[in-house]
Order: sequence, then structure tokens, then C-alpha cells
Amino acid sequence: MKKRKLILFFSLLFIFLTCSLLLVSMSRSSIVFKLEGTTLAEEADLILIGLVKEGVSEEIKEEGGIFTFTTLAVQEVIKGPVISEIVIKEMGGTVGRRASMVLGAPRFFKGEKVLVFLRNTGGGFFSVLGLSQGKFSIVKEPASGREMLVQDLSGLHFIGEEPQQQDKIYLEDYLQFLQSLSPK
Amino acid sequence: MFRRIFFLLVLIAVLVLSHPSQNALSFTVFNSKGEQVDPEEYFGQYPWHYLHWNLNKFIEGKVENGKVLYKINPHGSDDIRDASSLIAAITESSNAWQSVETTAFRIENGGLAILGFNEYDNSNTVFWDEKGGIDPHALALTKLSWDSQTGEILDADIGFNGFKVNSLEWKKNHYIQFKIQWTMEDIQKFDWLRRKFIANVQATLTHEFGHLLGLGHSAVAEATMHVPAPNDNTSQRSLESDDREGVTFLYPYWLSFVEGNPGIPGDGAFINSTYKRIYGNPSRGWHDAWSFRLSNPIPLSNFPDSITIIAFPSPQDFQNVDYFQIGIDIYSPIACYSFPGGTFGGYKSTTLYGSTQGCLTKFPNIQHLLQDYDPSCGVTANDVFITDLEIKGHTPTGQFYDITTLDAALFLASPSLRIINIDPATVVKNQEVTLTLTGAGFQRGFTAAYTDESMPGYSFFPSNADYVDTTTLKITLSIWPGPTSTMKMFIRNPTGEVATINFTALASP
Repeated sequence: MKKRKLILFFSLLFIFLTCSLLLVSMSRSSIVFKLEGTTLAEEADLILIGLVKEGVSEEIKEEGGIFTFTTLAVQEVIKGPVISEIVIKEMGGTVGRRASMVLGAPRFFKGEKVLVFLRNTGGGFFSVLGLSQGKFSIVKEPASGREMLVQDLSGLHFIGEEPQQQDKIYLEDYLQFLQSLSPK
Repeated sequence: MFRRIFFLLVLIAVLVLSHPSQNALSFTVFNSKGEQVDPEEYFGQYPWHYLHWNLNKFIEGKVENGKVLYKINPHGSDDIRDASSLIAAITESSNAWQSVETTAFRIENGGLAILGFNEYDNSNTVFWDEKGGIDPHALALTKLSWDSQTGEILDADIGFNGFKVNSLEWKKNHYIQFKIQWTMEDIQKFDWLRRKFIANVQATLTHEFGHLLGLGHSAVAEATMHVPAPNDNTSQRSLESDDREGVTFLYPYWLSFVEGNPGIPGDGAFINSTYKRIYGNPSRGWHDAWSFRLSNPIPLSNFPDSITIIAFPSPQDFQNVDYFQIGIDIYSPIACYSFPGGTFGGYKSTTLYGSTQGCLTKFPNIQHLLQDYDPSCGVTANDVFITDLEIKGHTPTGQFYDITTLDAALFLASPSLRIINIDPATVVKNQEVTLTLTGAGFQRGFTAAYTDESMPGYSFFPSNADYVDTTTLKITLSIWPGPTSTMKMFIRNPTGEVATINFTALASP
């Protein structure tokens, strides 16, 4: 009988400790400035899949720094007017020895296939929404050959959310999700 | 039955407790491509591969007198009317970094600047954007510019979003816009009723200042440079050990190389140096060692016949040390050499062993380091620089000696007096000109004189002769009118050494 009471006592103690730990870890999660897919889709002027044709960095002194103009050959428009080519203008880049960046801004690589959420910044240019949150690289999963979305958010500083291992996102699933949200 | 429940609960508890915790040091820095990298992975490479401020370089309005300057946009924040409190909060944020005991990083309020993200305005600016110019989902942004070959940061601007956060989804298909309200009160939270995110200036800025000095994000949850900012507290105003380790890595504490005066930093300093304890992290199992990074790389040509000496103010402290092992990193911008052991870009490490007598360690001629360079490249001693000295003391008991004094004076044996260059090398007679002499071994109290081959038998004295440091002198003179001729400048140290260099004086028009 005494032994049972002892076991019961330790069991309750463990329940208490376990719950406390879970509560502590949960208290770190909350509403964040991180953008969900629905928010990205809601705010984007243009959502498209494209191939990076080229990126050219230019020093524009009157605008205060180096800017990179990335030209995308548009393959599919998910939201916005149908166009064949767009230019994304972002702060940062490299001209000669001088380099600059906005921490967390997206980077594009020639030949890269991307899904981008863009906002129209005027002058015929677009910028990526939510810094690198609005850019996904499209890569093929080696095993299945299916196209997946990959995001580099390492330079971003989110409010209140621990970085989490992202589940695999397949392009076709994500497109279905987007198309259900915002018709062309 | 109870026993089964008990074991089940134990299992659950073990699973929860065994959740990986990130308590190791894990600060990251940016490499010269602007990518975040773990310093440990780059261990062995010279820290100049990382983005950092060269505190010895003058960049008008940005780096002066060994300090990084930041300026505040006079508009301040619409949310904070008390400008002096705002400035005080900004100062506190920057002070958090420079108050780390083991770092040489220094930062100071340099006044006001009107522009925002601008690389060319002679200002590292802290500003609030109240009009939506900053991405509407960012609380604050830091923009860095740097020299991609040296990793030296050239500009850093920090922009705060004073406008709003666009429609965040708070529930499926329900969007809400938040105004960001900056505060200096000890809070940081969402105010759902008023649709505001109340953000603490100091907590955000301390993190952004970490980026400004070259740090990336950290995986240590407690660190100020951790990726997510806590949304419910202001703990990021103060630094944790991981942050302190990061700033120390990039800007180790200053020591001075002094000639003949160990323990009196700055007195006749030949060159400034820094130390870092790169092996001294017990959590990683490294042994104690100290590395002294030279603030100004020294050309190998400064040591035609010299020895390297390490001296400490209290020889007694080291009487039980049987040897010091000295590692020297040398670098050549002309990456053209081959040697056993491989290369790191233009860098190369080598280790010398010297005999230790008390507090002194002496080395013979180190010119042989040049032999490792491919002779066909034409690399000379002027093209190779000593960049880093690493010291490991070893006691008779076999333990590595932990050098703990900050008063250690480390110096390279005084190079013989030499003048390497004179600028300009051609002047015009009857016009006042200031000549810059560079070389080695200049001493305070030197005297300067010059002769003119067209006036044999006469010596002339400059109107002004300034000692800048042991490598630089400034001489102002106006040469008597006469025909074009060769001049000879004499520099004499108080110890009696004399060096000369020729220059040309053109006939006055």
C-alpha cells in the first residue's frame, strides 16, 4: 500500500513537471510577423513562377546605394496580369569590390526557378514581398522528381517564433492552395 | 497497473527532457560574400574573412578615432516625443556591445544625419521610416555595405518601421493590420484592442547593432542575436555569453605593441595589436592560447634582420614557462605561392619556435618565410604581411599556460631605422610642402635635416617635423630657390641611428 502511494506520488510529480515544461515551451509561440501563404497571396500584386535570366547590380548614387535588377522570364502567372518578363529591383548587390545587402533580403541566382510574391514598387519594377519570405526556390526532389519549394529565411528576424523544421512543400500542392485563394 | 503508468510517465518525461537544447555557443558572422557562417567552421582562417569594421581606418563620419560612429535622424520616432530619452535608449543599446570587457569594439553617437538607407552620406544612420518605405512586415532592417576583398564594413544603416505591419493573418482568412508603436517602456507585446504592436526600442536596436558590427543570427535561444525576437518581453536589451563571444571574436581587446616599454600601452607604439582567446573555449575542448591580431599588417620587409620578442611586464609570472610557441599568420595580396600544407586564399600560417629566457622569446631572421612564395611571381618582402601572432605558453608540468594579464606588452623587436618611401618624391623649390616619410623604427625626439646637391656643404632644417608613429613622419619644408637637383633627407633617432632617402627638387618656375 505504501509502495503504491509512493508510485502515485512520483507519477503526479512527473505529470506536473512534464506539463510545466510543455507550458514553458508553448509560451514562446505566438502571433508573429511571419507571413502565411494566405497573407502573401492577399498582399501580392503579382504571383508568378519564373526563371532567373540575369541579375545586374548597379550603383545608383542618387538613390543611396547599390541595387540589383533581376530579370525573370515568366513561366506561369498565378495572380496578376499575364506578362512574359518582369524586373525585380532590390537594394543590395555587388559592384566591383563594393558589396551591400539588406539583411534578410532575397537573393536570386541565374538559372534558378522561383515562385515569387511581388509588390509593384512603381517605375516598372517589382520587389519581393516580406523580404525573402516572398521568394521560394523550386527544386526537384531527387527521389520522386517532384518539384518542391525551398525557402531561405536565415537572414530574417521574426517576432516571437522559433525556427521550425518545415514540412516538404510540393509545388503542385502549393499552387492548388494559391489558386483556391486568389483567382487570376 | 500503477507501475505501468509510472513507467509510461517516466518515458514521456524523458522524451520531453531530452528535447535538444541549444546551449552551445553558436554565434554566426557574415563572410565576405555576406553569408552567415559559423566561425568554428572557418577556424584557422584569419578573421578578416568576416565582415567587420576596421577600427584603425578613418572613414569620414563613420569610423573616427578607433570608434564606429552612428548618427540619428533628427526626425526620431513619431511615437516618442522625448528626444533625450530616445537618444539615451539608443546609447544604452550601443553601450551594451562596447561594454563587453573582452572586446575592442567601440561605438559612439556621432550626431545627426538626415538620410535613411544611404551608403554615401558619411553616416551610419539610425532612422524611423513613418511612411511605409520599409517592408511592411519588418520591425527593423539593417543594411550593410562592405569591401568584398577585405570584409571591411564601409556603411551600416538601421531603419525602424514606424508605420505599420500589413495584414497579418490572425485566424484563418481573417486579416488585421497593426500599427507599430515604439516605446521605451519595459514592454513588447501585441495590443489586440488597439491593433498595435508595442515594440521596445532598446531591445530591437541592441539586436540591430549586433548586425551593424558584423554579427549574424545565433541559434542560442537566450542570445540577443537569436533569430526570433521575443514578443512578450524585452530581454534582448542585454547581452548573453554567446553575444559577448561573438563581438569578442570580431573585435578582440586591444593591446599595444610597445618598443622597450612593456606595460605602457601607447608609448612609442610601433603597432597596435589585439588579442583573442581563440582556443580558450572549454566547452569546445580547446586549449588555452592567445592570438594577437595586428591592427595594421606589418610588411615582412620591416624585419630585414630582426628578431621577434614577446615580453610581459612581470617576468616572475612566466618563470615557470619553458617555452612559448609562436604562430604567425602571413598574408600576401598576391596569391601566388606554393608551400606544403596548403593555402587559404592569400593567407598562410606558420609556426616558429623560439628560445625563452624569462619573459623573452627570441627568433632569428624570419625572412625565410618568403622562400615559400613562388619566386616566379616576383613576390617581395614588401608584398607579404604579418597579420596575426598566436602565443601558447607551456609549463614544465605540461599544462598550457593561461595568460591572464591584460597588461601584457607584446612587441616586435625594434626594427632598424629605415626610410622606405617619401611622398611626394618630387617637389618644387621655393614652395612649402609637407612630405610623408614611411618606414620603420622612427622614434620620438628624432631630428630631420636635408641637403641639396646643388649647394654642397650646407645642411638645412625643415620648418616642422612631426612624429606620427614609428612608421610615419611628417616633414614640412620650403627649399631655397635654385636649379633642379637631388635632395637627401636625413632622419636621426635619439639613439643615434641615421637613415636617409633621396628626393628630387625642381627649379621653381
